[in-house]
Amino acid sequence: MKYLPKYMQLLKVLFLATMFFNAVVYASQSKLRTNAFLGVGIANVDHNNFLGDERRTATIIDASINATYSWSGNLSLNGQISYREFGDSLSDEKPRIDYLNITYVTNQLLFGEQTFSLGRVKNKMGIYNDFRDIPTAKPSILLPQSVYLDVYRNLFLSVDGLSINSAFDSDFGSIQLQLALGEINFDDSMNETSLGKLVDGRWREDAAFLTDLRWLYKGYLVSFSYSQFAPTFEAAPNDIIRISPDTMAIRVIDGEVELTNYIYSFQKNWNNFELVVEYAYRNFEVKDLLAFPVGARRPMEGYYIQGRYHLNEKLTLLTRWERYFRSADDKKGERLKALGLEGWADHSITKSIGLKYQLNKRWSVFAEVHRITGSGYFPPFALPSSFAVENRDSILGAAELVYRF
Amino acid sequence: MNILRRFIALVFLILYVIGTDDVRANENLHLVAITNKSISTLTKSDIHAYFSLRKQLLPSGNKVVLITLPLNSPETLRFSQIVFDYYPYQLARAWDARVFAGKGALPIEKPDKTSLIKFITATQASIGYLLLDIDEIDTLSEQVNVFPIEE
Repeated sequence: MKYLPKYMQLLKVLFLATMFFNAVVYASQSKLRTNAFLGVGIANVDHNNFLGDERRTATIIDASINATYSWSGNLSLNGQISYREFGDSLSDEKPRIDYLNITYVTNQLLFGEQTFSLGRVKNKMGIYNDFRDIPTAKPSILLPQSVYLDVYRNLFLSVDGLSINSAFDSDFGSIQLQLALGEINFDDSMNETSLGKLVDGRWREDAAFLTDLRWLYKGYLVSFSYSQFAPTFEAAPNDIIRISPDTMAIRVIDGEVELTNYIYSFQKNWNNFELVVEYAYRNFEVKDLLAFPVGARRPMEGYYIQGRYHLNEKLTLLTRWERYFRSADDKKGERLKALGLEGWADHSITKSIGLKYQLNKRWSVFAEVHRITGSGYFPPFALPSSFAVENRDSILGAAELVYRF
Repeated sequence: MNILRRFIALVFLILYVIGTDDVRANENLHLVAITNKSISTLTKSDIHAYFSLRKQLLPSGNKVVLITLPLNSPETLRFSQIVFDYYPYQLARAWDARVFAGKGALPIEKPDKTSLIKFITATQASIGYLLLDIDEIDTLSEQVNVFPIEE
């Protein structure tokens, strides 16, 4: 879909808009509840491969439509179809089922409220993960990659299984706990973001476990998320990953990855000003996968501090500083240097500014600029490609117009 | 570069001016939550929990029905500032975060005070908010339950 000519992109946007409008109008006349949005924008980079190899400009499309049907106050069927386009590597291959589950909510067990969902459920991981594709709700078009790595967005979005949410409210605030167990679901873009374009093998689903505990009190939010994923890769006979210089390639073989995530979050809202600090530590264990000794265990680390100032009812300004290390045990990139690559290909510092302007209830516009030093989080993730290490410094700009149906 | 900076400053100034509405409060009007007669108790923290979409059920086990007025109404502005310390559009974004994560349903919007009162009177487990003077609070108490929201 991402290689369609421009007039086809326009037709696609018009089709989505018409479909969403009809669905929302239909739902308003029945008991079914639906919501939808459509965002269209553009992203531009000067010197990096975040949007694709040798690609400087890309269209942004964000679209979702959801529906909820309630049999009774406690039992409901919920589903959402979403599509995201953001450059060559970070787009959905096709519209996907974002979630689809049967949910039962009760306050007659233990204490507080318990919500049981069976089916595909969104993952709570850090403050933004379960609404990471919702432009009207997230703080910026590009989330802080130090914590919300887009190259692994596929792994983090949802699981097919069971989720239990508990919420307990008291004078000391609200405590919420989510436990989820299920299988990860991938689309084909996972190959490209993780291993590059020269790979035809397949990632296979495996069990995932997630838990998220959070406390909310008078504008404060403190949370801790833990998750564990273990996808396996079945390589095709000629799978390779090419690294710099372009003549050098490494063979990709069958393998398994075990990814354990710890995310600590803090948020405070003071009416006009909001402060967010998040820290992520990931333990990444690779069994085989590359026919080359790049290190079986790799701890990753990322953190950011973000401020948002609501200048008035409609205009919100954002500033953010973040740091990311692909190898937290090798923060200067000595291992890459030994391979003849630049050390900064293993870490990044990103400084961002942005704004959101709410034109009215339906329309909003977003614009932002990210100054990136180093290429630690650029795809493919297994090893930096030559395109990712052309320049240490790069600037990524993006703007998006969103309509809420 | 200087021209670019001046242009950006001008754009911000324009956005600031056109984004600022007159938000002065009428001191004779009190912010209240109004509920269907089926709801007999309601605290400010309950209101916060329900309207942030993180709590869905009344103690009786019935699902709560949330009613709002338009985002640009003085009632919604006062409500979101007092209960959440948010501007209305921030509250709408927080709702989107829950609704598009599949974890809540958007409140039902009514165009004006009259239709909101009519809907709440007729709908079990419904909760809304209004700005009312003392006389209106007394009159309305016969139809619905009224809970003052402390500022």
